Amino acid sequence: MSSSASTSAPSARMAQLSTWQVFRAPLLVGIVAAAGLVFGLFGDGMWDGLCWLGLSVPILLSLIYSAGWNFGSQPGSQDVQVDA
Amino acid sequence: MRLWIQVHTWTSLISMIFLLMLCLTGLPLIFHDEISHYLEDEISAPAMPPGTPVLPLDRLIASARQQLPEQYVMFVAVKETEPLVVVAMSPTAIPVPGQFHRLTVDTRTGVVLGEEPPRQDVMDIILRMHRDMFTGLPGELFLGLMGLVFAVSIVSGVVVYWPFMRRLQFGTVRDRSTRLKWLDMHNLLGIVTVSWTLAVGVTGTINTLAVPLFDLWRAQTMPALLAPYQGKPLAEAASVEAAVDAVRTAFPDRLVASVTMPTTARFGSPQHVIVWTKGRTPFTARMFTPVMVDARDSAKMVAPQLAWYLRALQVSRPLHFGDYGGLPLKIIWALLDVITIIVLCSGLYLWAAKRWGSKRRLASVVAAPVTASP
Repeated sequence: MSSSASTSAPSARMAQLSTWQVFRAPLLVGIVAAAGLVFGLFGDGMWDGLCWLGLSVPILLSLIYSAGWNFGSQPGSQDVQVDA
Repeated sequence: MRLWIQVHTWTSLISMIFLLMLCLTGLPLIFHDEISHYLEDEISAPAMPPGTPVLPLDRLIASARQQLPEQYVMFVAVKETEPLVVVAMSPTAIPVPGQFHRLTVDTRTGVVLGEEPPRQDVMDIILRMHRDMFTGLPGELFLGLMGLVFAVSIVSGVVVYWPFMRRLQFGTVRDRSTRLKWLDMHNLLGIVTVSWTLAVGVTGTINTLAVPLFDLWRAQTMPALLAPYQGKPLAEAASVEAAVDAVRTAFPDRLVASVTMPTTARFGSPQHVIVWTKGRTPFTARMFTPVMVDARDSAKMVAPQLAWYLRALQVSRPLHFGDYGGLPLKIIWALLDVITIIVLCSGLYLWAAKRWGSKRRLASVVAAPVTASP
């Protein structure tokens, strides 16, 4: 989701990102969560499952990124330690 | 961009205290049903073989009347999950809030199982705090306004996300200083929850307009419908069961949720049984539509078309309450609520640290992502 930006950036102070580069990941998360919100209204069963999945994404991202405090500032650290 | 930061700061500060209150009181309200069930103030039906025949509604109302013969029957609510109806009765022809008696009647035996206790438990106090801070409609509308301010705060927050993040990868949380860490956390948690906070915030605001909107609809629709019956006396319903049957036949795709008896009170009609129906899917189950059935002749019915703004209102209820996807969705709702509380508190902390923290530290933290040289 945010991997391509890191290739040219050896540290946290990387070259300036474009608006699209800054917002594409949040936009994707936003669309997935919004889809989850709406799918739940359509029906039960599968629709509820999609709803739970979509809305879990922001929660999981919050957990993963806040647990791996250093993620993103270390070059090439795609494997996050999630044992906070 | 400085303007946007100002907008974000001030809209957040204005709505902060109310939003914290709403988030904290909202947390137990998500599990309202579960908590009520746990506190066992709900009456449940005794087990009987499935397919046991159900008595007509008139018979159920009669047995409630036997229990409280002096009282007026206001409405009958049909429970969807259990073979029960709740008959609401009032000692006065025009009911006074808090004076309702709610008798739960078994639909198979007609036995009055008990009276629901007067609604004034802890959950109701929390609900009133959440809805209007104990001040009625003005408080409700004020909280609605705070919801709008919150929406502006969210949108401006998205705009100011860019200058802070334009040299950082998505999800970066730096730990060089406490302030920096919480700045990144605020940005991260805020941006990933935008869809949810906007949805819950805006639908919350729409819900505060429920009372005035419904009154508006009534004022537009009901006088024309009721004009032929104006001045006529209160009619006794010939048969509630016949009225409900007629509605079920005319609208086979709808479920009957409740029945308002002929009344002189504002919520009903003196000459009609009002049958409230809803759809069968989670989406349409929120769309309550009234069908007015002539109290003496169930063949005569009027189904006023609900205005679009009431439909919007009804759709926004589940999106605010998070009660349309079972217990897992409620847990997700609670977690997102907790994340929102963290975003609010970290935002407040960042503002306080900027205001009262040392100027030098402030410069290094706030200015760095914006003006740092490559």
